[in-house]
This record gives sequence, structure tokens and C-alpha cells, in this order.
Amino acid sequence: MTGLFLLLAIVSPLSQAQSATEDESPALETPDTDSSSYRVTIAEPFVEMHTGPSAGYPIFHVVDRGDEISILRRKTNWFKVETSDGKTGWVSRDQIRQTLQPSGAPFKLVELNEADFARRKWVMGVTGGELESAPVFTIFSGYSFTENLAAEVHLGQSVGSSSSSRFIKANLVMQPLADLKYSPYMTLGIGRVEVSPSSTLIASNDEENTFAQVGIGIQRFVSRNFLLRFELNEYVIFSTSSTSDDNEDVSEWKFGFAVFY
Amino acid sequence: MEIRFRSFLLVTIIGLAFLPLSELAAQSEEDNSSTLIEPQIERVDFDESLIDSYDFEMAIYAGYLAIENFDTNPVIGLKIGYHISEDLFVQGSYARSEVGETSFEKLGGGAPLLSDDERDVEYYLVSLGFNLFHGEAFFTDSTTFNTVSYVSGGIGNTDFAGDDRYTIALAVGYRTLFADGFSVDVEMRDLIFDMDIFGSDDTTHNLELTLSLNLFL
Repeated sequence: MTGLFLLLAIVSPLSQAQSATEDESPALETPDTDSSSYRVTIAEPFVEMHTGPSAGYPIFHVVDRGDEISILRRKTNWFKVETSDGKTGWVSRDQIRQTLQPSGAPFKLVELNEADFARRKWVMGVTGGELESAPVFTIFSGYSFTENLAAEVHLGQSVGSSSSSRFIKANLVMQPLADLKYSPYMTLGIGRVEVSPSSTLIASNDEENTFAQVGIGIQRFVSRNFLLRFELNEYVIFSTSSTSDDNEDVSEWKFGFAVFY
Repeated sequence: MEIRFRSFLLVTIIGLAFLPLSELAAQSEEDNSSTLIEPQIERVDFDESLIDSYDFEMAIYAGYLAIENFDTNPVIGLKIGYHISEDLFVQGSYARSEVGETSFEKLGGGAPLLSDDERDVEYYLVSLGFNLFHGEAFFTDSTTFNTVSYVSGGIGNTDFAGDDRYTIALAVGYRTLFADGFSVDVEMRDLIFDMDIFGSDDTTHNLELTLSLNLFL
């Protein structure tokens, strides 16, 4: 059941992010042809049409400069287009760059570059690593208030040989040098952790505690909407168990990737 | 003859030297007369966000999951994916299944090893996938569908026999796109996790063969 909940946690920011971009787009005059497609005139000397949305699919047709095409839909970096004589195929965004922006002005597409990386709003990702020599797995979602400050929510699970724990954590992420390719960041967080001892051990009760966390990390922008991060964290668990009153110090390293919008 | 040739050269050189000037003069005249060159290419205001995109993917899948030392049982699950580029995608999966009895339990006839609750299997995974080979399948001589072979690797958790088990998943799959927004995938996945219910910590490989129906949004 937790799994389903985690999945839902992934999806909800995604759908929000999508609707957010739709809201921000300025109202365009509807093209004179049917409303679901856009007609453009090819500005490049020629454009290659593939049978599918990847360079791996064969080229079956070439459209020349001056020909009109309708843009039907997009899949990653590929547009499905229809020629005036009814042929449909896929062209890459790179090949029709001039066509889409013939004035030579900076490309207005949703395409992200490194400056956008610093300005990104929504991020979500996955990390895996070790928490006190037990494997740990986290999914997270975040929102950037400014390019230097973001809030993130992490859901995690760590499975050790004698116990497994699940935790939820709210993080404040400070990224002082957001423009760098390898950008360092610091995190501060609080959360709750639930520890259940392994069922092969003598039955003992689940335990729920609050913890605080401090961490450092570095993230690297890889492609237009993809980043990698490495993080080191230090946790202090405020133990309330009957057996020990001392706080517990736990350290963690993890490596992960994230998609941003 | 020589003189004529020389004077011709001279005239040419002088003429060439003055040519740019006269051209400039002509241009400034043109600027004044405000005749602009009409661009041959029609300008369009194109906003990509108004084009339908198919970067997200939702799927239901069903098939068989074989848990090592237990038997093979139906599994049913959900997948959500996002395509980062034509080659790279991330995917989250969640599925449920249950196991029957081990051979030992069947033959021994003694007390069951696991309670009914513990026989439920539930896992979730987050995977990073790579589209390896793009291709086409020719169903008839006029019907062609695009296909993709992909590999993926992921991490997650399997809840089985009363415990959480850190899981690594490796998969290969074959996708047939019947339409731009719909595909059918056949996937073979290896769920690798440690199991300690037989005394020692053993790494188990649990194979899952599934068929999924995917919608692109």
C-alpha cells in the first residue's frame, strides 16, 4: 500500500507542473487551418522525415525549403508533421529550428538550457545509497522559490538486516552558486521515521521518532531536463524508546537523478 | 597596342576602386526611398506548449511472477513513465502478487512456513530505462508498426514474508507502438532481493514476465 502511495506522490507534482506550463503560455492567435495543428513553411534547405520519433528510425521522405508542413504533436525532441501531400512522419527539433523561429530570435520553445536549469521550478527524482551500511531508497519532489532556495519532500525506505525503516522528511535546500555546472548545495531538514524490526527476530514493537538532518551535496546538469546529484547527510534521531534515551547519530550517502521542469 | 592595353587596365582598376562607393551611394538612396526587401519566408509565431506532447506514459500490466523456492503466480501492476529524450526514460512501477506453498511445505505436510498475510507480495520500483534498438514490425505488406527494444535498471522495495526487502530490478522489454499514443510492451524483469526465511541470507532472483498496455499522455 505504501508503494501505491509513493507512486501517487510521484504523479501529483508532475500533473501540476504540466498544467503550470500550460497556464503560463501566452494566448496565441489560432492558425487559420484546423486548430489542432500548426502550419509552418520550411526555412531549412531540406528536412528529413523519419518513420518514428528517433534517429534510429529510417528516413523515408525529404521536405524542401518553401514546402508547408503541419505540426501535429511532439514526443521528446521530435515533432510529428504532415506534408501538404498527406505524408506523415517525424522530424527532429534540431532540424526545424529555423523553421519554427525564422526571425532568428532566440528559440522560444519549452526547451531548457543551463540558464533554465538555474531557474527551474519543479524537480522530482530518485536516490539510492547507504544509511548506516543498510541500503536506502528515496523519492523526492521539490519546488524552487528562487534560484537559490528550494523546498523538498522526501519519502524513503531503508532495509537493514535487523530492521527496516520508512521516513518522511521536509528539506530546505540552499544552492548558493546555482549557475555552476557542478553546483553545490546544503540541506536542512526535519522528519519522522518509523522503524520496524525484522519479523525473523523476536517480535518487538514498531517505533516512531522525530529526526533532524543536515547535509551537503553537489548536483550536475546533464541534459535539457535531467540532473544527477550526490549527497551526504547526517541525521540526529530523537529517540523516545524505553530502552535508550540517548539521541542516535546516523550518517548517509546517496546518489540519484532528477527530472526538472 | 601596349598603350591601349595599359589604359584599359587603368580604367578597370579605377572603375573597381570607385565601384564600392557608387554601390554605397545607391544603397543610401534606397534607404531614403524606404523600399524594404520583403522577407521571402513567412514569419510564424509558434509556441511549442500548444502542441500535444506524448512524454508521459501510464500503463497497466499483468503476467507471472516466480518467487524463488515458491511457485509462480499471477502479478498485476501499474507503471508511470516520463520520457526524457528519445533514448532515456524514467519509470515507476507498483505491483501485487501472492505466493503459494514451497515444495517443502507440500511434501512435509507440517506447519506452513508463512501466514496468509505473509504470502502477499507487493513491490514498487523506480527505474531508469534506455531505448536500445528502434525498429519496425511488418504485420502485413501494408501495415507497419514501430517497435523499440529497451533495457532498464531500477531500485525499490519488495514487501514479502512480513519484511521489506531492498530490491534491484533489471529488465529487458520489447515495445510495439500500435498508435502514437498506445503501445503494448512485453517485459522480462529480474527482481533481485535477499531472503532470510530459510535461515541464511540468500540473494534470490525472481523472474517476472508481463504484458503491459501503455497510454501516452
